[in-house]
Amino acid sequence: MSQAVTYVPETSLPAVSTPRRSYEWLGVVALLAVIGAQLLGFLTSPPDRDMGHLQKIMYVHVPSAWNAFMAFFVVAAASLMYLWKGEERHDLLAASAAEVGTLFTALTLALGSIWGRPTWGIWWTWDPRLTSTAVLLMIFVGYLSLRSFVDDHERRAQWSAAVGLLGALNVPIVYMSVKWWRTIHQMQSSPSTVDPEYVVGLRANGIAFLLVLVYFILKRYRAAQLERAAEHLREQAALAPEPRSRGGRHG
Amino acid sequence: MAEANGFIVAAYIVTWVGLLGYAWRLHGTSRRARAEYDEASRGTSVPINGGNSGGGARERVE
Repeated sequence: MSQAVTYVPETSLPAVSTPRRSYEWLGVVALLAVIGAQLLGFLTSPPDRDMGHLQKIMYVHVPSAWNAFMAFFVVAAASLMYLWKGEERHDLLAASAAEVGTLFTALTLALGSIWGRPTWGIWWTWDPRLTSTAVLLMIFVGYLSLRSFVDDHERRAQWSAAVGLLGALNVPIVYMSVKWWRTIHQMQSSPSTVDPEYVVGLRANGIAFLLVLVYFILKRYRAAQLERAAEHLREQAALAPEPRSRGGRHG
Repeated sequence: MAEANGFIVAAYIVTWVGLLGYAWRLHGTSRRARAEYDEASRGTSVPINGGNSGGGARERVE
């Protein structure tokens, strides 16, 4: 029997597991899917009547925005679960999704800016859609900063859940901003609102980006579980009695 | 046309830099987390027949 055994008092066991399961295969599948979807988008869609080939930016800008919205939906759901059940894994899942959602929000803004310059003639304007998306980004940058500043685990999780829920409430505002206010941004792009020639490319890229989102969140969540479990073990080791008294009774 | 192509290329470069950059960062985070966990586990582990499992403790096999 060569397995090592850790003795940990029941009261201080981490509420997180430390699986060795790997999701690298999903990362490879997601990478190939994104390459394939982008090629498909480029090869199958004709130039737009007004924008010409600039329309191709839609295949990365729109899926990035969808991913950000879905990530923040996960944040909201996991934060609610944490506030309801108090289980640490929900806090770790919310934090992982928030980090990935922040990445995709930043990408959405950067790509929108690159698209806006040749089509609107400006890199940035304080338009309701752009402004509400920037506010969403700021809220989640604040969320991540909050997590790095607060040391107490329980307080950090509770405050994060509150900020995560408030931040996620901004998602419907971002989504509906093009309907509620006068804006230069076009209406929501989806397979039902774009030209049929672009539907296949948009769907393919949407699915490929979704795979990337799932891979990123799962991988970040696994890392967060390990980080937290290591913290628990270190706390446990600091509180443990001297090795002589711990190993004294056997046989 | 050439200007439009420049914006398209820029958009796709930003996308790939963002995705691959984050994937690389995530890879490092995962490796560090695993190393931290393994180190912390070693610090609190005792041999299977050498410890005291009584008094409200339980065994966790790594």
